[in-house]
Amino acid sequence: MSDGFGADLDKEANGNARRRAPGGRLRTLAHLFSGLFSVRSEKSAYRIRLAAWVFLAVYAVIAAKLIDFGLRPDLPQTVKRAAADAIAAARPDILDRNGEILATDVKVMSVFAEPRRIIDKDEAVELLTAVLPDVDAHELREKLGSRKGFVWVKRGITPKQQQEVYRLGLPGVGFLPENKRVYPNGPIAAHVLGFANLDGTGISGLEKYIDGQGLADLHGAGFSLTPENLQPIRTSLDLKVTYAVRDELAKGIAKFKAKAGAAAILDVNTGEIIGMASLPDFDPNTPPDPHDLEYINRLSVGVYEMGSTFKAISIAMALDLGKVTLRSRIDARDSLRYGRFTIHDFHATHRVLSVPEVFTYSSNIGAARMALMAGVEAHKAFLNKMGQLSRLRTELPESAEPIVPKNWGELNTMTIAFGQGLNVAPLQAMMAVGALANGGYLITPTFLKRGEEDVKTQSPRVIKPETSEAMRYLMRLNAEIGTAKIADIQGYFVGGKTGTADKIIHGHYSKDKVFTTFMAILPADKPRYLYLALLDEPQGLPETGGYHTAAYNAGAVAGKMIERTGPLLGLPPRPDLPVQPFPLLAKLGYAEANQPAKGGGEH
Amino acid sequence: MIRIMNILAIAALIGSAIYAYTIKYETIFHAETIVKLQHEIKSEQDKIGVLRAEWAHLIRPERIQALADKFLDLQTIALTQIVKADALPAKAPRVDAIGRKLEALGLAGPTNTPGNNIIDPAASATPGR
Repeated sequence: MSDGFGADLDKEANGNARRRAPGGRLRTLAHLFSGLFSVRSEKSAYRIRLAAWVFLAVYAVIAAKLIDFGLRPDLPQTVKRAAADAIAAARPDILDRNGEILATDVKVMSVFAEPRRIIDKDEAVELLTAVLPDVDAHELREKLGSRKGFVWVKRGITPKQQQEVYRLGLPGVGFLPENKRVYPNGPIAAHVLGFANLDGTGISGLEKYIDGQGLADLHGAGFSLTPENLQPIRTSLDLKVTYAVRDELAKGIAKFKAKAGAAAILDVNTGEIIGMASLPDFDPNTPPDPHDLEYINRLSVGVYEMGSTFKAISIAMALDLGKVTLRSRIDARDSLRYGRFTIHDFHATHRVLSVPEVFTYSSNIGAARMALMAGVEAHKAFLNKMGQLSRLRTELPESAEPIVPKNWGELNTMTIAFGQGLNVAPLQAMMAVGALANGGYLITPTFLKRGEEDVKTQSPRVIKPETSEAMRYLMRLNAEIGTAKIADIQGYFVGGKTGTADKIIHGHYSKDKVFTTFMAILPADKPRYLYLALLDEPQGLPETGGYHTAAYNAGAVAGKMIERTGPLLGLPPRPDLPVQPFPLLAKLGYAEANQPAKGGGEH
Repeated sequence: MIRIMNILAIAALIGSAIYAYTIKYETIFHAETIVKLQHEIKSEQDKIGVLRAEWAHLIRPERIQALADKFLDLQTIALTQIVKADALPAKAPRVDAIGRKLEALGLAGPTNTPGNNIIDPAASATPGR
């Protein structure tokens, strides 16, 4: 074989030699070739130059083509590219505190069309609307008539519909898998979750919050995120507790024929909202018009006069500023006059009351007098410190500014002391009462799971621990002998405060329309949870003696909530009362605080 | 000698070419398998997602309570029904209920079988003739 190769080479060499012999053009050509293939050193520079030119030409062609690609504006856009912008983006799952699913993505098929590729548009419209009856024919014709490269025909179709559309065999009509947001629990925790629209953009609630945390930016930048690389969001809610809260609230609203209501459970040590409901609510799978005021979150968007619940804050202020002690006596013999206004007591006693009595009788006069002792400026400063005068911001994008009187005079201080004239969001009031209970730390409520560590060190202290303990004692006393008796669930050492505010109808306080609230802490000695129940316009019932004050309705709802959710929250009921629930008060010389109060009668 | 070397070289060339092609096609095959499996995994994951959503929908407290109310004869737990472990009564002495019943039937005593030849009409279980 090697001989053969050698022979070929020889032949070629001979041929070159032969061609050189006849002159003329052939000679010059041969000369060129011989120059090309010769090994003589003086010719090599020429060859190198030639090779360089050839390579340069090739690179020039490549560069020109690249520039051409870069400059060409109207690249044929593939369906995939167009669809990537159009299909609903993946969203992270939302879980409850125990890992139960509150919101998740499922894959659904959507039908799309490429109008440019559809030949007979009228036929396509006819066939598609026959298979997908809920697609508007007129609208579809318009969409297909447009010059767009990509339009949706219908999103989220069933597998059966997909088969039927597929069988139509229309050119330019195809399917794309999309993410659809589903909320398996329906209306439970709807106000916290909010909802996302068809394109996977959060519209309200935590869904919107998630978008605000950078998810929307990532989608906008073209990152296609899959559910696998999205960390699920863990909320502070407990699904079962939330359900129980909503169930009891719904029962309460039905029983007392209230217009609306809300309820929540706050962990006073971490600020987590464990359960909440605001009725009427909605199913996030079929969201209502976001501007419908009927469905607002009454805990954070509604602002209300909280009524007597605010007396807790007023008394805490007077105690904390040292204006009164638990043994001080407040004159409530007569109605309090201020200019042409008179402040009455609902449960009028017409005698001098001790500070605990002011609380348990829910004396407007007593609370007003205590606020006056502190003075207007101190009152304002204290409420500001408690976060009652500025908008409370949580993870939920929906929030409302409290309605604060513009010219805050002595009269305002007097009425605000017992909860009239200052409208706050109930969640805001819960934050303040939580601070009164938990030892004095103002912890911003959260809807996301949070650990107990660091929360207290990061949160500002607003009242002294002694004041907090005195407030717990007063709330406990109120549950033993005062207005909160209805929610004194045996075994949980509950403390509570009622609040009944007359509603303002046409600028006047209505006599028969009320807004009732109830706050309960449990256990009162080492508080863990704060319960809130509020009802809008509850009616008196024959079994409540026709009364529509908070103790009979909101209190009853809160009591039911405590009874039902206590075991779910892992609180063991204690058969015996704690031996020394309020050690700080005992040290300060109020030994009676640790004795269970007896009698006291109905007030 | 050189001819043999050439043949060997050609054979090696062809062999290595075949080997390279095999490797290449295998790689393509594996790559396709990977893509296919990835698609399958994706579709399985999607199915898992749907099933998870469905499961969450089926075990939502609202539905479970409705079902429990309908089919279970249970009532809401009262707080008095929850006690600490040390509040439970001490364990009762073990009672062999079945053994006691058997004893009451008198089976442990001597039996009156006809083969015993002891005629005791009072103890006889069968009505005597």
